[in-house]
Amino acid sequence: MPKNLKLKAARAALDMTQGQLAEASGVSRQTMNAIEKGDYSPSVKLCVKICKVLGKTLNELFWEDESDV
Amino acid sequence: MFKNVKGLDELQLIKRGNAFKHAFFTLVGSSLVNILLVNHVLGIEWAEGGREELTIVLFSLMVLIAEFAWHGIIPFGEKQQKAFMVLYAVTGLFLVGVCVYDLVFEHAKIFFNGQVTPSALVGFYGIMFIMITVVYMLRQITLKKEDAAQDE
Repeated sequence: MPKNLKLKAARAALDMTQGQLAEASGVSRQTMNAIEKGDYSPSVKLCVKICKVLGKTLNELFWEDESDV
Repeated sequence: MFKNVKGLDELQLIKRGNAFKHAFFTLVGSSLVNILLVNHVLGIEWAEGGREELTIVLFSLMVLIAEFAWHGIIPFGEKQQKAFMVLYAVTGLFLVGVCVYDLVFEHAKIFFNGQVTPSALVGFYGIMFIMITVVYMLRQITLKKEDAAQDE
């Protein structure tokens, strides 16, 4: 699975570390790292939580562009 | 102690399930192999005093705990985790020390009559305990590298 660069960029735009985003989303830092690296596909519930923290929509963070497929 | 028990997130729950699965198959597989060796096919008894089952159970337990330590799914706070790891290391070193003492001063052997002696088994148990702490320390090093690399 490709890396989730949109998530990483959105996190960086808010000047948040993985640990801070993880804590705000209610998961461990290792889990957030796995999501960003593309090693784990989070549940829709977790995706929504992350989107709320970063102020983005599901499409903006987790929709795959055709170029990624 | 249980005030600091933390809940696991969804990925940690999956990893915990995998850890239990691996330990279960280790236990069942090792037990089956042991039963075949001991009772049915070769008639081999590889440890004195019927310690084979204890060794298999302890080994399976160590597989479980090592996987917990590697994936960071020990359900306690950081301080309690470190305390447990220190306890494992101290216990392991003590058991290895007892083994070395037996081997050096009591002139015990590692094998006797084709069986692993209790002294050697104690040393093996000690090494298993120490390996848990080693796995935990390796995990901490990996986490620090991930921390450093997260914004690359």
